[in-house]
Amino acid sequence: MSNILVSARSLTKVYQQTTALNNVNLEIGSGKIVGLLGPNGSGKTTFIKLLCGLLQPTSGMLTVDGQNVGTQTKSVISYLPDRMFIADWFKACDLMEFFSDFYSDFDRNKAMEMLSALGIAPNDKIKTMSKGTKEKIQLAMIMSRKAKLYLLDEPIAGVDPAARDFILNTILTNYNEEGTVIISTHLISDIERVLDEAIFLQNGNVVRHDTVDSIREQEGKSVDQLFREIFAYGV
Amino acid sequence: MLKKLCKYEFRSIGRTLIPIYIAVIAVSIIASISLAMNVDYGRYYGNWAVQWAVEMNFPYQLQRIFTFVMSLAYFAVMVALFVLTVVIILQRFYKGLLCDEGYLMFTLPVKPWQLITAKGITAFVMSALSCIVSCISIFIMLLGSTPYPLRMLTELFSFKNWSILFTQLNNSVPMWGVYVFEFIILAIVGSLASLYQIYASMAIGHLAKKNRILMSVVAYIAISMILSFIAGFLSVFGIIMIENTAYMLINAGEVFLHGLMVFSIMASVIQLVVFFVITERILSKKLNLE
Repeated sequence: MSNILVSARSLTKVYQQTTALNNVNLEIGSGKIVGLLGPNGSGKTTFIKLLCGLLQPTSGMLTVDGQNVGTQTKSVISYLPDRMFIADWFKACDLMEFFSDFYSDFDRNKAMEMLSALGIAPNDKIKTMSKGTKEKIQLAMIMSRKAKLYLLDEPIAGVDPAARDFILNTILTNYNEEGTVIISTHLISDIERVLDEAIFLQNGNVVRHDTVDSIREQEGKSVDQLFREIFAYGV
Repeated sequence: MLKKLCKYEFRSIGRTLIPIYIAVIAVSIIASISLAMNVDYGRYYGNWAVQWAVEMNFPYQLQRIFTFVMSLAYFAVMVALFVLTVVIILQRFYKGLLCDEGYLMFTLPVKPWQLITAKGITAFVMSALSCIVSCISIFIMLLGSTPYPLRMLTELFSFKNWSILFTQLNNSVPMWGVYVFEFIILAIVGSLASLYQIYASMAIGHLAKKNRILMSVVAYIAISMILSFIAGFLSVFGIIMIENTAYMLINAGEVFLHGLMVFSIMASVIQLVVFFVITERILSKKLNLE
């Protein structure tokens, strides 16, 4: 029981007419890297937003670390949205101050190290940075926390392959080993090597939730191939 | 946590408004000097600015143009101060909570009411500051347009004048302190209520699937109409209730006035609470960032 970090019970989210998540039942343990896989519009972002409290479920239960989503769970979740979420007048050092003010698990030294590895000076303004650098600085902030749950929404979608490797390595070398990382993406081949578990979402339903090893054993194929089969068009 | 939220809010709002404050004060000082230099005041011997202009042999026409340009500049910065204060307050709420920055703010380990309160406190303090700055600039302009600014200052800061004023005030309106107190409370609560009316309108506009800004404007107009309807209803009701309003005004003038002030304060408090609750409920339960 204590090992279960995320638990969803008949979780449903309906926007005005469309059902984004339909009666989802899930349990995710601690200390894992989980891929949340599915095509666009399958409910990945909705699930992540529900977890970090940006949306309220229409019905069903969702707990993180045994608690309903709220202020308490927000303090143990480190969330990377699929967009820029920092005010552009911030400087790198303001950003670090902001994170250490609000998150007690923020490791300032770690953030400093990551920024200097990226070649960002504390007085650099976010506004003057390139899109890729902005994404990297956001990731550096998120991964400098010792969180129980990291939620990364499409972290590698808009960047070049070299930056993809950088981002994956940053995630792998910096995440809190007792915590869980949930990565949502449709670019499976790039992240398959780092995943412990995979959750396949289709039209708001969990169609498969398994460890990557057992997928390979049972199906005799990679997660990427399985994804292509499950989500094949016109079948 | 509220304190920390306010800290960042003040930083982001002050970043734009404080340069405007400095500009307003600087322009009003120069405009005030240009007014003081105006040769129309030549007959007031002893005015230093006039003397300086005469000594420098400053061309009369040029001086006129300078005064004209500075007056225009003064007008422009005052308009800018007013418009920017309103725009930035709107923008800090809309962009800071309901657009991309909302992804950061609503995932902080704070409650939505704290976010809304921090916005309200900073917006209120900054609009009060804008008012104070414009008062100071008007005072500076006043100094420039009187022939003897030094005399005006000494008279303004003389203890004797103030004590005379207060003695007279105490004699004619013994309750003036209560009125001032009521007025200050009403000003604070009233401006907070209109601030939160804007926030509530934006929260209601956020419920729409698209055209959220347009829907916010519609919500704002709708709320204003409802409020004026209620106010009209209440005043008609009040006139009917108080059988002889004129009688009341003459014989119970003081009591009536206090009653009106207290009633207005209470009405503003109710508005403030309603708007705050609407905003808080929508942003807690119905938040749906694009």
